[in-house]
Amino acid sequence: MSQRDDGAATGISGTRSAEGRHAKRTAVPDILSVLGLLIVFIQAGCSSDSNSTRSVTLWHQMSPAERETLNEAVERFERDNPQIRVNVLYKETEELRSGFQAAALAGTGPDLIYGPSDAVGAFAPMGIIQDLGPYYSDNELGLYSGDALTYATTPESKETSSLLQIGDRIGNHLALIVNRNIVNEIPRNSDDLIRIAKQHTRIRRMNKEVKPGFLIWVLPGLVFIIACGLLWSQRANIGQFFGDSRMNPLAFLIVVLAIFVSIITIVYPFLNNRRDDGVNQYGLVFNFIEPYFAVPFITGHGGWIFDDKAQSLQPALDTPAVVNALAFVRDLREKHNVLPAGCDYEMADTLFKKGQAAMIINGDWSWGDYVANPKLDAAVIPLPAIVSTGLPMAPMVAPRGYSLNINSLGQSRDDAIALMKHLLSKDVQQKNLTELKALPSLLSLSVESSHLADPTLRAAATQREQGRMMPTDAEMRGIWEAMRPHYQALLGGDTTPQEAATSMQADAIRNIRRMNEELKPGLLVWVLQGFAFIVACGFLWWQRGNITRFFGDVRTNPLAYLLVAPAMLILVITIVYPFLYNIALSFSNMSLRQFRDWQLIGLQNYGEVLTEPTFFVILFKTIIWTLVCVVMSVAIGLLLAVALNGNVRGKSIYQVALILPWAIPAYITALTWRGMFDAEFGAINLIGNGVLGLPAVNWLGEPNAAFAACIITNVWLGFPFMMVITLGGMQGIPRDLYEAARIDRVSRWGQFRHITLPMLKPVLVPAITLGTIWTFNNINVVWLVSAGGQPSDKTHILVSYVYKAVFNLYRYGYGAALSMIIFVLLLGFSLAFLNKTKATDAVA
Amino acid sequence: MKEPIKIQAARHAVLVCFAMLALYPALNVLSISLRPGDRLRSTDLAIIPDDWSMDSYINLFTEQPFLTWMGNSLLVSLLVTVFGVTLSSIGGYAFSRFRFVGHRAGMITLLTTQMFPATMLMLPLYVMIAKLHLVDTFLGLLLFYTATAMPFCLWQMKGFYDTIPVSLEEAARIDGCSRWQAFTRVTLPLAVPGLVITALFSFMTAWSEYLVAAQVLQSSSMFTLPLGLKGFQETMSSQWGLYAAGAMIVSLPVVILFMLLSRYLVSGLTLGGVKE
Amino acid sequence: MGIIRLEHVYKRYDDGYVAVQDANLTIEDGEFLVLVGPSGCGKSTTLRMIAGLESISDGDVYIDGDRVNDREPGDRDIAMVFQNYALYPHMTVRANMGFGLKMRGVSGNIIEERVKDAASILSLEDLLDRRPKEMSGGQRQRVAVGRAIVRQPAAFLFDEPLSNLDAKLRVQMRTELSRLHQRLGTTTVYVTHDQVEAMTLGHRIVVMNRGIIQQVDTPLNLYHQPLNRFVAGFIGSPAMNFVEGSSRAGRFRSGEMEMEIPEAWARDNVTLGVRPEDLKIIDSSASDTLAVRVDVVERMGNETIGYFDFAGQPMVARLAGDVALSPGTMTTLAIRDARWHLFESGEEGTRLASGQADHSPG
Repeated sequence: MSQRDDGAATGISGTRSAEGRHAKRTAVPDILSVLGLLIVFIQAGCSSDSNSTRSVTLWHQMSPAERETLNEAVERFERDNPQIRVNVLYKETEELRSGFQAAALAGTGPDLIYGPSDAVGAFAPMGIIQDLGPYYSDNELGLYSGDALTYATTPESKETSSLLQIGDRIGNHLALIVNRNIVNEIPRNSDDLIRIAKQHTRIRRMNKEVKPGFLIWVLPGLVFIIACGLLWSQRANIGQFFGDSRMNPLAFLIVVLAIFVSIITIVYPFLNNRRDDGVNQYGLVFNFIEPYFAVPFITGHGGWIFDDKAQSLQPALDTPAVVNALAFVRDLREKHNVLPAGCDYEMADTLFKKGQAAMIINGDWSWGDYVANPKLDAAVIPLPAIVSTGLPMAPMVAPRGYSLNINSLGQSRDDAIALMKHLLSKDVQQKNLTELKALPSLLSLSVESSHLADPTLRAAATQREQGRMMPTDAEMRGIWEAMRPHYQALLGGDTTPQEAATSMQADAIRNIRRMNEELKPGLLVWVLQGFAFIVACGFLWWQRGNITRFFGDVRTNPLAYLLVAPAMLILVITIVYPFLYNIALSFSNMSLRQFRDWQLIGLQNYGEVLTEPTFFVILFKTIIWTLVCVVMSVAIGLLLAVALNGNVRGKSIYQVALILPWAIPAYITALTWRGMFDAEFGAINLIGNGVLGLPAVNWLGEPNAAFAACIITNVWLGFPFMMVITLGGMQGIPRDLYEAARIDRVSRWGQFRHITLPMLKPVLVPAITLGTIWTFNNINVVWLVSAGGQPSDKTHILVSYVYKAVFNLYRYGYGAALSMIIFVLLLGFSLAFLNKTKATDAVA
Repeated sequence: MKEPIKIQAARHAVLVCFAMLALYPALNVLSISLRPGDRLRSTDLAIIPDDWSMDSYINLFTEQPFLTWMGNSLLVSLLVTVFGVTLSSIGGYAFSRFRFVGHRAGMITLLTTQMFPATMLMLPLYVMIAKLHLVDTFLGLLLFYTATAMPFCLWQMKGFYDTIPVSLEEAARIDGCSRWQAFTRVTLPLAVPGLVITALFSFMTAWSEYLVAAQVLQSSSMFTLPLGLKGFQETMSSQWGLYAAGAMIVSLPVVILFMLLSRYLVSGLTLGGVKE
Repeated sequence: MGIIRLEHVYKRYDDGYVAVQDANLTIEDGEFLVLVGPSGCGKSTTLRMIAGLESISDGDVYIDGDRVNDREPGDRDIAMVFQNYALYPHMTVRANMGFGLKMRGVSGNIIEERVKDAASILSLEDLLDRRPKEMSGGQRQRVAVGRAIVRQPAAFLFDEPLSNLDAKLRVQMRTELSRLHQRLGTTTVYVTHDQVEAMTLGHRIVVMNRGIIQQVDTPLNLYHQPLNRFVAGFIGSPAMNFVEGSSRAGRFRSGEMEMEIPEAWARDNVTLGVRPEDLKIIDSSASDTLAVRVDVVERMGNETIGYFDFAGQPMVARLAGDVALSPGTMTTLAIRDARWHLFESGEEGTRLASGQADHSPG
């Protein structure tokens, strides 16, 4: 650590001295000094690896409370083994998974990873975790519950299963938590559950509210009427401002609306300051849109994810049990109305914590918080039985535990095993049990009576006994991916339970086939390699003049090359290499089953992308997305630049406010917008529906609305850039052009149309090109606003679709091919656009 | 000449309305950060909630290694700024003033680097960073951030240099400067507005990035701000109060920079070049 | 000292375009040489090659006997004034003027002194602390000249320095430059596209067209003995009249007009050139007069410029101020004192003969 800091410090002082010398020295040594600096830097980075103490790295995904006990245990381990330093790092579940995959592929990564057993399902076929068998005797293993030991086959072990994960706790399961401040009884069965939930649901639709609404209507209404009157009396002038001497009704409407919205945005929050937050109360909330939370309903109706009777892994999603379960879940909202629309994890959690929900279904990770919350008086109870079948609702149960990185070898492996044994020891598990109420994996602890004393633990244990072990097969991911869109479509009212079940089954089978697809290199590979070789040779031949000129040019004009070299070098290292790697991947079969040993196979991936109808649907959507976003942000940018470009009082204040969306990091504001689009708690519906009486839009629950929400967010993020660019361009337009136009009696619109716009072309063309490229590839907004393509995977654009294909179904080759297609599309567009607008001079 | 009052009014109407739209989401973050108890969702539209508290902010500085993150972020961002500005100021100059073999191809390559979906580059990038032994070093981050910012910065600087008449350098060379001196003594001082924008852009690139940081940095003492913030936002138990408070503090320096530099922003951002 | 010599100098661009072709020139010490020609003729390129701003594709440039092809512009001991002045916007006038000396390591006192001298010559004393933005075009022009003279170089190079000024200022600056040259006596190479500037300023004038030097001579020689039709047409205002015709058996013929010429070239296409000031109106017509229709009459007071149509070919004549002419009528023009030239046809057709063997005044 200290060495690293030294390296960075050297870098800073080095830079300073190099800059000081710039003035006096000639070009060549100066650039060399920059390069030298780089080398010093790289060496500093390298040397940081040579630490004298041994270290073990552990990645985990524990919650803040769990982290505390983990840290205690690790500290104890470090005290006992002073020569070993443990590097503990929290990573969010998905990040841990993708991060570990990349690290393991690169031959590095943490020694140990901690997580639920289903991660093993993916890591095993990839061959990136080690068999733990050799380090544990049968006796030692006998101490653990069989559920805690996860076995699977790896590419190395071929037929026989190896021990890949040992759990320190078993659980991760859902149960019912009741807020006893609201509910006094315990639901015995599903009918009870619904009855109680309905009984404690009190929803006052906002547009029916009378009391605070009256004032809210009157004041802005008056202002609105006055504003409209004023505007109407000035319509001719406004029209002139917007372009024409005759009033354009559309422009008028836009101005009125804009002013109105702004008034409401200011006035409303102040008026509404005292609005009671606790008006609405819901009976039963949970992460409604995630199929994982629907599993207990499926098991309760007698179904299961997989076909228990089949020999091989076979999904069983179109059974009557699943159909009934889906209907049951849907009715919770549609018929019984016991939870809010689009209720996701955050919403359920917030409602319950604020005492606005009587019951919640949530996992063992959350119980501690609820029980400890003094405002709640929460009690954990097992999920009730379904009346129609008499079966208890059984959640999925999974152990969480430690696995060993395939790249952990020699001393560090031994240290890692030592740490692992310590973390799995009785002491640590005992502490987890008492402090975290985590059900231990050691059999010796399971029988202790402490379970029965603590009601939460008792419930947890009972619920666990009712639960079903979560399958650890990699295919689980394909199942979730298949279920989610149809499940969400069902909840959105777009399909029936039967249809949803049938589609889920079909998609699950397809996903599993795709994940397990083992593409073999065909003859075509040789043809392809030959073809690539010929293309490369042809390119060299075609460019031979330039290449020979290059060598001459380097000698006659060395300065130019020296100046460009450092920048280009960095680009080549960090972008060109990954890019070439990707081209190779796009012709390869890299996937779940061929992760570390991928081969080139030919054009199959491209064929697959281009024969899929989904690709074209999403391409179409992406084009719409790009078009609307760019046009809107350029239009708004232009409008604001026109408004700002003149003698406006408070110009600098406006400018700062208008630049804000650009200045605040997008990952923050995108999440804020997601919150604002929330159907019941978002500012947009609260204002639109609660104040204006517009119909409430389920922004994030309906595909088109969600897509619109993404677009609105992106336009909001994008207009300041366009505004600034345009403003800069406008300052370069000579004033006398406008004076000439005025003498020619050109209207303001005419001036804008025939002077401003054409004169802005050299600035706008590259800005639009860049804007288009950025928008086309902007995964952040779509991913954050629509939470990864929700609902029903209907808001995807190409990049988010690629991301999903790669990171959820491990289809690296397919994803790479798709990215190449995106790249070629954009390249084609840019060249065509720049040529068409004859702005290539501006580019090159 | 003085504008009619009605047109002034129309200007203000448009500006006020969009300024509100721009401000509201930002204020929303403020609002969340002031709510006690990690309440992301609320039907309360007031910016400052009735039961506001500064707990999140206090917690951020007392119980979280927030200052370490901030220090790391500052270090990385400033280094990226220095690197980005240095390299793009000389590289952009070459692209603007010299017609060398590969000039056009180079400019187009810069544009094409923006066209590849960045998420797909993560895996190979990580493999490469691991091969260079740069995992968990700031240098790895520095390298990548500089490269990410480079195409835009080079484009921007090239565009800006294009607006500076070549004859100034020729005059300087006749006055006895070498090409390099003509660049440092005459062109560079005139390119300050462009450099400021380049610096701002480089800084922003590093300041608000977390995807690559999450891959490269692997010990919590090395975390940058966005990465630390990301830790508050977990799959099942987000600490929204902390997240929002952190977000406010992350945004603050950038917003201040934008405020200070908004004068330069308008005159300095020249993608393509407005020649006099 | 300042002798500049160009030997077989070529400028070729990568795309094959030849901007300057085989330029040979010697500029004597203290001489004021003007390069003139239409835009794109290579005059600026030639100047920039002398300055070192443009590489020399072939041939050699010598300054005071030293070959300077590979010397940096700053090491050639020359100063240059640019068309757009190229004043450093971030420096004051004082710093602008002193920059060249500063770069040569001249001490501050001397710089200050020399800047003051130059400023007094150009009456710039009050402007020394201003920046270029705060000055008028004429003032900037003067600063640009001042920056050049401060350096006391072997030669001044001017690249169309007056073309950004308005007409009145241009005339004023022109005489000022003339005076300056007389006072300093420094070798000067001056590029312009304006032949009036060329004639009034230059000791000698180089006329260029399409990268090739057409003629190098004193202003009067150029006027009276142009080597070819291009030079004849370029020098003089209004420009020389050209009448297309043929020559047979010692006679030039164009339409009705016929004229004796000294030699018996048998050519179908030759061009007769007559300057507007060498035409006069006569009452009677003869075979060697031109029957023309009056087109436009411009009266200047001291003289009248008449525009005529001779069988479809335009003619201009410079006539007395009170000459009686009305547009649309027919009249007869005659060539004064056999002051005519005969050229081969074509833009750069060589001069074949002149009416008077030598009508230069001396």
